[in-house]
Amino acid sequence: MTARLRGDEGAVPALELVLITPVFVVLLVFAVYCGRLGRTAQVVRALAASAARAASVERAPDAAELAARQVAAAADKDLTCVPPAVSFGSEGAVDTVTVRLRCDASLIGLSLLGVGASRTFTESATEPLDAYRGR
Amino acid sequence: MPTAVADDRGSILPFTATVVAALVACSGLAVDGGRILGARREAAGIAAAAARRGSQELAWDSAVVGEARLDADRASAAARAAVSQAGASGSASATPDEVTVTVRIDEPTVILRWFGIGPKTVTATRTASPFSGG
Repeated sequence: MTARLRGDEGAVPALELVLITPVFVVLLVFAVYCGRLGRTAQVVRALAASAARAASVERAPDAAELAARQVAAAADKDLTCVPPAVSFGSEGAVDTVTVRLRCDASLIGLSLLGVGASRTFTESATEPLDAYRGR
Repeated sequence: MPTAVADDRGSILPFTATVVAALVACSGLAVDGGRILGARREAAGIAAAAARRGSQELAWDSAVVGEARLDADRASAAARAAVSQAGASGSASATPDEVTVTVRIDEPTVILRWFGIGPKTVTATRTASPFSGG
């Protein structure tokens, strides 16, 4: 009798563990989700910066836009980017080029959280034009 | 016997609390670690752009004879202006040959703050120099 009672008591924590495990799993997936979001935002920002840098050494607006598009087209396969918007401005005495990039990132594997299959990231980067690059 | 039952019921709680805290800390590493890496990259980007901006301030007397030398005062001033334009803080110095820019960003933590890990300062230093070509 005593032995059976002990056995029953031992099962109570196990049952609670079973009930709490889904919460653990969701928290774990949430940690992965946070990491993926942060990493993807960085990748998109780096891509925008590279595109702006490529555009800043071109000699004509059309060529700058083409260079930015070519860089943006080299995105990771889990990113779907629309061609970037290239605009020109000035900061004080120097002309600048700004690239604005919008990408949809796939979130496959995280459907457990119900966050949707993809998420959109928009990043922009500004670079000074090289005034002495020749025209 | 009743005390034994009570002990058993309480035993799961510390375990659950510990594991939940650990998982939240993992999320914090993912979020704040990512933010810190992003800030580091952004600091490097700002420093490089500001250094390139500064390296365009050529000294006129050298430029007219085809030498790419810098006006150190104008170059460091332009680099500093570019850093503050980008919303960061930092310092810039220049010689006739190159501009060096250091950018500092204080990145606040979002989740690790709950564990007493405060804002993290990242710095990046980049150098640019002019050259004549083509």
